[in-house]
Amino acid sequence: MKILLLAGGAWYHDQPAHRRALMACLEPHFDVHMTHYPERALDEDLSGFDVIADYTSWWEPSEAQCQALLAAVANGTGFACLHPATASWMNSREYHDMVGGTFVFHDPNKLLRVVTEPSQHYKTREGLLESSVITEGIEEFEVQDELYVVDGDMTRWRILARSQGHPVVWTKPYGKGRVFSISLGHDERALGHPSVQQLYVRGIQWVGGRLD
Amino acid sequence: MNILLLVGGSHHDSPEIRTALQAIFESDGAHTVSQSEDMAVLSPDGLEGVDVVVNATTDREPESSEHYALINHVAGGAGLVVVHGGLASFWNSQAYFGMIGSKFAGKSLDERGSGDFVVEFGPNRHTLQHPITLGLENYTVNDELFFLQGDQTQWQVLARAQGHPVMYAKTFGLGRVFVSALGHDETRFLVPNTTEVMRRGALWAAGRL
Repeated sequence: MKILLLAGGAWYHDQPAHRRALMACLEPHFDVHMTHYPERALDEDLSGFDVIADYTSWWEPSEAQCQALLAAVANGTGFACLHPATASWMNSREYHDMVGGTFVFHDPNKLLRVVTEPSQHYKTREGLLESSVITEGIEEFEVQDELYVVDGDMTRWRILARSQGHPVVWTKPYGKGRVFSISLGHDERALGHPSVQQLYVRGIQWVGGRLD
Repeated sequence: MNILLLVGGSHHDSPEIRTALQAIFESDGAHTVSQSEDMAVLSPDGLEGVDVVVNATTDREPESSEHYALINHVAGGAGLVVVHGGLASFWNSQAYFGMIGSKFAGKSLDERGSGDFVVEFGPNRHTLQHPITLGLENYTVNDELFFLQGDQTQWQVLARAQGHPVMYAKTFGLGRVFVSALGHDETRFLVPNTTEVMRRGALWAAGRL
């Protein structure tokens, strides 16, 4: 499976240790094409990629680059929004509509307990935390990471993991494509956590249609 | 102005709570506050002349016609204030939750469900400055910390606690809606800032702030 990994943007999420950790997580499973020049990658043909994974932060596309991404996903390319990417593309409302939410702020890096056990609303029986092939077999875990607060239209999310009540992993459809979003994975330590790695790999497999 | 206070239900109801709520909304002097635990008041006749409806019920399930009387009244320009239990009431109507913008989805503290937390106001990048909260300082409460599930893109978030929005404002048709997740019982209602946002929330929802 061929994936385009967009990196770049703010320096604190674009360091050699981060890239090594991302590649160590993803390369055993995918044919990864990583770029630090998302603007160049998005100007080119995206049709050869099964999945586009975004680890940029505070990066701003041009209108044409934004439309190229949205069109690819709407036509069936999978999209994975990784940790800092809810705080990227801030000039594009459409990007955040596709992802489902926008980064608001984060707590200081600390030990987080991440809950994956499915639960239903006590009254309406709606899924508050849903079971999924992505989280299957991944038990509740602790990870040293940032807790993101992301605002969005949660009525359209399938929430797969929470920490302190805040959704940290969710999926949603976008046109013919699938979107996977995970707010965990701040640095090489978090990206090296086996459960975080599993979530990254399975999320990307799922948006790429390889995990059903 | 006329305020209709809806009370009663499975939780968050006692003579003390009713007295406290009455006092909060009467404190401006200029308001007439009537209380009802009978949802039959939600009819075109019952709502005529009501400027603001305050929903402090829990687990009530009004008739369909009562839901639509309330929704039409707010859509037509009246104010609605939803307090704590009102986020976990009127379960039999998705339209109600669409109007208020969210529903109670759980509590985020420990098993007891309540504890101490800091309520943080704006203005900052993630919490707006607003007439309802203007000039109020962050404060610590012992209360229940709800997490709410809804379309946050419709909310103007006015206060957060541990990142969770606990107060927000939105519009619905020609009407205005103010939601506060705080106020588990009368001692929690009577915390000064919690009281003040409810008082101002009613004024804002009525278009008078």
